[in-house]
Amino acid sequence: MSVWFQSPKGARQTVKLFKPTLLAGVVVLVLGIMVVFESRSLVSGLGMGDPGPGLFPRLIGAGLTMGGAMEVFSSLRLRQTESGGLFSNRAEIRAWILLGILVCYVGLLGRFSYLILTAFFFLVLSRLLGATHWVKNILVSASFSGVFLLVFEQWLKIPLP
Amino acid sequence: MPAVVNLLHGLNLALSPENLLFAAAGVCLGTLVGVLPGLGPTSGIAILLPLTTVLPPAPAIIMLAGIYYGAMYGGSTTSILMNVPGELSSVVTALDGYQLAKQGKAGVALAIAAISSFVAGTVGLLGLTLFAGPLASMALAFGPPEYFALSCFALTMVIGLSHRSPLRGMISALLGFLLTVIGQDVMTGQPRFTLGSVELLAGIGFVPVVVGLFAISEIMVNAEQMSPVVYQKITRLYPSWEELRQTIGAMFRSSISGFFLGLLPGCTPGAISFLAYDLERRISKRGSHFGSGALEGVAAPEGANNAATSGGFVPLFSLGIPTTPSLAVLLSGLMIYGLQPGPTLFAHHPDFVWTVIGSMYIGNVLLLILNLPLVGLWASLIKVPYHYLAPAILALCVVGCYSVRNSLFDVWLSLIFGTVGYLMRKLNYPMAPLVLALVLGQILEQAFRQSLAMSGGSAAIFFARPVAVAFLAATILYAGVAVLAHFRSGWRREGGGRQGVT
Repeated sequence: MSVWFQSPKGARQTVKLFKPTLLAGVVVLVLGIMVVFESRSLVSGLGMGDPGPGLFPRLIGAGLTMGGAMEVFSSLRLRQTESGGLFSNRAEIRAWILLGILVCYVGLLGRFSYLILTAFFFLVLSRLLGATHWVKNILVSASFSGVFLLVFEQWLKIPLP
Repeated sequence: MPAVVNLLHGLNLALSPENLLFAAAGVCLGTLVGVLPGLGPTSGIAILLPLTTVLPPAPAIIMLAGIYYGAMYGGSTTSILMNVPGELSSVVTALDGYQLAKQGKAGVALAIAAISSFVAGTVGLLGLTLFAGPLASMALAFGPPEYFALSCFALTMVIGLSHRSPLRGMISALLGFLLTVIGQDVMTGQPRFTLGSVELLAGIGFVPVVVGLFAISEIMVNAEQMSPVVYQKITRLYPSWEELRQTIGAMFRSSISGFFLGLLPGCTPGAISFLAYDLERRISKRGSHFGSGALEGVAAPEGANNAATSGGFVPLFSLGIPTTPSLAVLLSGLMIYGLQPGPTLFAHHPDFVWTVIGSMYIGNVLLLILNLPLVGLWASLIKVPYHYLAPAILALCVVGCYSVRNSLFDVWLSLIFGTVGYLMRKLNYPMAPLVLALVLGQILEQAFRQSLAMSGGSAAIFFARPVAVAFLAATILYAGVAVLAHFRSGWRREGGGRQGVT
């Protein structure tokens, strides 16, 4: 889908629709409808004028539905590609890989030794972010993990996952 | 004067070895957070908040507050030396600061930034000392209708000022509200939006949300933008009398404007530093030099952002209203300790509140020492490679989230909110309204329902009390002006063109 607009000078220009903004609007709209629907089951208040636990969520849901609809509408009539867009550059892949590594790390916490897992996490992430020297990386990762264990578990008595 | 007596008592308590140690630790960490690009005061406080729960309340809050105002000092270092602002409030400092560094005046620019921050910090703290107590006494008469109206006003200000799109600000705030209704309803005990999860019955914790939104998403964004920076050397450090005389007016003007603007919800130190820079450029005799290396262009934003941080503590302590996301995180820190910020804080915990204020005076002096003779040390920290810093921060985020309830559920939540925060940043949705709504949501809902319960269900109660009426009128007026301004700027951009969809 594409959008056209006519400039004051009369030239008709077509620009690619900024889909992530539209998608965000749709997500907000659907979320709003779901909240309104779900809050219908929350009815009974304390009496004496208390509107009950359902009123506030209903208002929030209505607001989200309205806001989502307006966002969809404004995305459809958007006439220039907005900067800072999503999925617009290759470097974004690095951010998503970073998140993936973090998800794996958290998923494996508790199943492996914290010391080894954190050192491995540190090593992989530092490589992703541009560290090149393997020996130095392994030494830094192992030291970091050891210091963390020492400071939090031994010194501050804060439990580690 | 009771304020002076209270302050002296607070200073006395703040000078105890334990409080002094944590004030020093806070300002050091704050300077570090400010110096390191990609780690702002909000994420800094959020990461360390759960780790401070092992401390008594006063040292913990002293340290967290130290991180907040310390970051304002530290942010200027990278702005001036590398043209890379350490945090948002130092963006404008880079305009003239980096130009001065390129002219071989990096040391003078850093010194002027530190002196201006100290002057503004002191002026702001005097304002905090004088205004917070009386405002809290006035607010003692506030009931639920007044709190409802005040919360509405604060949120409207934040939505209006935080972003160029009020619609996205509103959506962000509504998402924050939605998070507050998850869990058991405090008044009836009914579970709301828990999706059958036992963990969600207790609600969504503040720490995972803030760590995710600010720290994790920030590292994701930074992972995209890894570019080498050019570092300017520090030469002559101390300014001459002439250079001090030239900037002293800017220091005081920005201190006063920064303090008063800092009282308003939504006026973040970042926005205030821009306003102060613009104001100084207009009134200064050397306005034409701004942008090409004017010392006043460094003094004004640095003074304003430091005064604004002190200003923000006035509504936080006296009304329980945070004006910035960092203060919202700090507010949640107070709540973790069972301290309800607001008028009763001064009445029920005077030792605590005056100790924290007293520690800020001490912290301000410590920061001048840390940032003037030791600036070279801080500058050298910039050389820590980001590929080592980012994994360390992420591992700290995981430990921080886990340690609140010893639950991996909170860690998973922080990852979800990290993704949400990243998407919000990429799609230009402001995060400040979400965080403030998350803090104010429960207050707002309870105040609303209690007000209706007081009046037997009649909404007329909001229009029968003068303070509530004044805040609601201000809310409607401000919202109207913000929407009108948004549409006017939209019409100007359109310039009469027509659009269509094919």
